[in-house]
Amino acid sequence: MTFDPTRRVMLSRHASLKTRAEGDILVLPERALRIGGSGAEILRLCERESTGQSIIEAMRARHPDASGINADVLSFLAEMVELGGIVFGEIASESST
Amino acid sequence: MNAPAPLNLIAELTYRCPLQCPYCSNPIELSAHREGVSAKDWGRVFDEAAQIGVVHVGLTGGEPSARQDLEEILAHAVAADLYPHLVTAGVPLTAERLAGLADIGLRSVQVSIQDAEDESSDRIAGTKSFQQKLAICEKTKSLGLALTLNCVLHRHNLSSVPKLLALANQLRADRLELANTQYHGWALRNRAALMPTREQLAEASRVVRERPDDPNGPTVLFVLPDYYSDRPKPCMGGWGRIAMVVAPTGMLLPCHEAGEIPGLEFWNVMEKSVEACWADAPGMQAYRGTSWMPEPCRSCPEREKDFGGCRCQAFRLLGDASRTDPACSLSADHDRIVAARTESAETWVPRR
Repeated sequence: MTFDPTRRVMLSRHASLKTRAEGDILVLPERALRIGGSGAEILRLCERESTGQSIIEAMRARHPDASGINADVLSFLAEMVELGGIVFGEIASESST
Repeated sequence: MNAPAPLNLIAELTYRCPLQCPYCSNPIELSAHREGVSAKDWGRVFDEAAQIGVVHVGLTGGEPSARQDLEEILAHAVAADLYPHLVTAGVPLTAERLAGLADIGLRSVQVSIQDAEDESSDRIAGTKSFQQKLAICEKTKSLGLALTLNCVLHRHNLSSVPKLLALANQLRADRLELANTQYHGWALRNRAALMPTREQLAEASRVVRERPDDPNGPTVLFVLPDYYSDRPKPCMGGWGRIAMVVAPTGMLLPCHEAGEIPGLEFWNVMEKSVEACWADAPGMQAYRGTSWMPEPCRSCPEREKDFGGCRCQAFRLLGDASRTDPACSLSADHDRIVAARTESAETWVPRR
């Protein structure tokens, strides 16, 4: 799907982001999946109710030497929207650790 | 731990269920299976599972609301910091009881329906239950919980897919699972009565694919039956890899049916720790990873995607759980699957 970076995205209230010894895990109503390092960073930014564009800017500031951040963030966000892990424009859930 | 860390626990709280669906995954011979895990013991199981990595628990059955102590079991899951998900037929659950479960900390509910309308759904379920299921769906949404609507598809309801899509929208479901019957347990016994035609599947699949784009509509999952797929599914995400089933007897298994495979030794959570049952039981180790695989799986580029498919299907159809899943078109035994596509019978045997 194409992803509009001006829209506000947030973690679904039905999702939880958990941290375990083996890494970060996104827990959804019907499944749980391990999330790699930058994916978990993006999801934590979503907890603060950001737009796709502001998440890209935050990731650029944190990783000034990385290339392709724009496309990587947008494709990750699009994938998360498909899975129901993040949503547009509703109240964010509390995460647990 | 000498095994991958699991993520999901499927807690089968009971085999009891008021429905008699002809595709039930309960064991055929229930009399050999005694329900033996108390609420307190489930609490210990949840704590031990969380310690080795589990984050999500599906409270299922049978019908989990048939247990009078479901509230206590749920409270243990919440205390163990597991994400609690209830998989229910909607009966004998009531809206009031569901509200109580939400207060305890339930996060999401999957409600099964058997078709999109009263008469047909109740006929397939063998019990008048459709209106009650709708009431549970509505209550789930009004409580702010996530709602998955699930309908198992087969020859007798595949033409209802447009109505099922409309119903899921009307109920504001977050997710709609249109899962074609997989032929295990009672479904294998009733295979000839349930097997759809290729044309039915193609039409249902088209309706799902071409549905109008609706940003507020549910996520829709359409699962093809193995019998019409060229490649097997990654059954349970791989044997003993990410998910465990604890049966009502306390046996810890890699899937609902694996306990039926003769010669595999699984262990019981009433006798050993969850970690030992998961990591070290000989049955759990038997098909974990890829080293057990015969050809053509062993050298197949898909082996880390489908993990060799379903061991139970290989056992049921070929008598040997270590054979290549016959659902795969590369299996030497794939002709068994192809031949079953044209089976036909008028009536099914309801689950007892």
